[in-house]
Amino acid sequence: MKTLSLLTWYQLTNLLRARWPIVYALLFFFLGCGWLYFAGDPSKALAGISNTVLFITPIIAVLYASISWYNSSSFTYLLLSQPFKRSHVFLANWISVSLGLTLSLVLGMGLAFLFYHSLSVQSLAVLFFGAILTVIFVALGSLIAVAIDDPMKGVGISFLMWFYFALLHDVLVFAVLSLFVEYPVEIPAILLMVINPIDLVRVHLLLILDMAAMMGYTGKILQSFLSGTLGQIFTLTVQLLWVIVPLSLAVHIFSRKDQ
Amino acid sequence: MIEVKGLSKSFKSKIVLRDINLNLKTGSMTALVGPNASGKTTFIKCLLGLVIPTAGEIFINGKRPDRAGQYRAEIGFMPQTPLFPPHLTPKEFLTMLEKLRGHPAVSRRALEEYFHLPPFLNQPFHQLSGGTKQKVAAVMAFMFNPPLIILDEPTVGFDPATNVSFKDLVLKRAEEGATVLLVSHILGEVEQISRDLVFLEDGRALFSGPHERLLRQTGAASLERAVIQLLESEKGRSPS
Repeated sequence: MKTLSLLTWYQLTNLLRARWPIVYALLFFFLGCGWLYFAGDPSKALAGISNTVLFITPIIAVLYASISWYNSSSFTYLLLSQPFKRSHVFLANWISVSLGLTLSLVLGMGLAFLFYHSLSVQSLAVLFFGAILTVIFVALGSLIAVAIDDPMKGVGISFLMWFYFALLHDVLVFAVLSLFVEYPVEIPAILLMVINPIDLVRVHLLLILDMAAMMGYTGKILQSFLSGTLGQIFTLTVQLLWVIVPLSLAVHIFSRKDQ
Repeated sequence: MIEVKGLSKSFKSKIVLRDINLNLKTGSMTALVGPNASGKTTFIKCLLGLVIPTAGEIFINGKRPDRAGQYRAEIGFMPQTPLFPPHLTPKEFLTMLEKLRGHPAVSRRALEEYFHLPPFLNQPFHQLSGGTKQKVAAVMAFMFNPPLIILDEPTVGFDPATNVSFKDLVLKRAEEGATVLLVSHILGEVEQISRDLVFLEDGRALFSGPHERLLRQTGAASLERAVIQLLESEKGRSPS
């Protein structure tokens, strides 16, 4: 545990001294300010900010995680020549990238909320679910980078995965559910939601924000199922699984990999 | 110190190491020599437990290399081109290693002075030259006084004065009882800081023994010519 926390601390220090966390935080600050200034109505602004966070955080997280893993392969080699466990080296990288990106999101968007006196339970929920998406997609990006040796291929697959989850999945869900409109679709809809972490977080966030009107097609169907306490526990558990499963797979692959 | 029995390694269908048998005694100074892609780096990675052998066994001080890597506390490794975290300083990086190992490095301060590093210790790695980074890598490899030192093309990037200082340091550590395994293309360097030589070609150890034996065996006047002769005789033997 000491090795993991020390490795994480030094890697996080290295990450935070680079320019990208400032740029990433500024991006969120200006986007947040833009929505809060132009939307007029705070609830509309929050809906816009939610969509922005749901769209941007996964792609930045998955691409950054995979690119940074490939870029730090020589440093990883250096660490692996020391008496440290491979799982610690991998997990320290995942934790530090997740923390770095989450800090940028929370600081950038948080300052925008503060600036416009819009800090509320709802705005904190947006930051919380943005952080969850970041952690999930850093885990997915790290898994891809560990599993695929070719950086071009790995980064390409990371992008395609985001493209599927962020854009294609809902279209496919809509098509499938439209085809079976005469049958009960609630259970298949839940299954289709849990296989997309962005949908899962979107539904959970919008249920908390009480913004059914902003939900995607999947979300509308699921509102009645997931708005209770049990539904919330279910979605949080599945979100947790979206972190644990890719991480476990990545640690398993990395522990047996030649490097 | 290092015992290698029937070591083979393949990456998919590509055979990189073929039935290597070696025995490096404690306090020996051995150079691993061979043309590009002869399997030198893979051999070192096998010793460090970074690559899992397809067949054979390795024992380092009686311990098998494993993935947990605790046995690596007895190894000082200096890579060819170390890539350090760009926004950390050498001071932070070396302190990190000390903290991670849970004890201070006995020779750290002396080595920092020996390589004239103090003016650079608080500068981030991205501002340092390749040679300075290589000096930090040398400090990293030697600072815990490890009984086994593995050096992969260590002098690439060193200026002539540092080159000499580095060789003196290696010889001193060997005199003190450390086992040294050097990978190098520079045969002059091999002659100066090793006593034994392992010549790898296409994953096979074509020669393993003292320099003198290789010179006698080939009848060459220098180690450089002996190695070239060895390589040419192997090429003549292999069907083209």
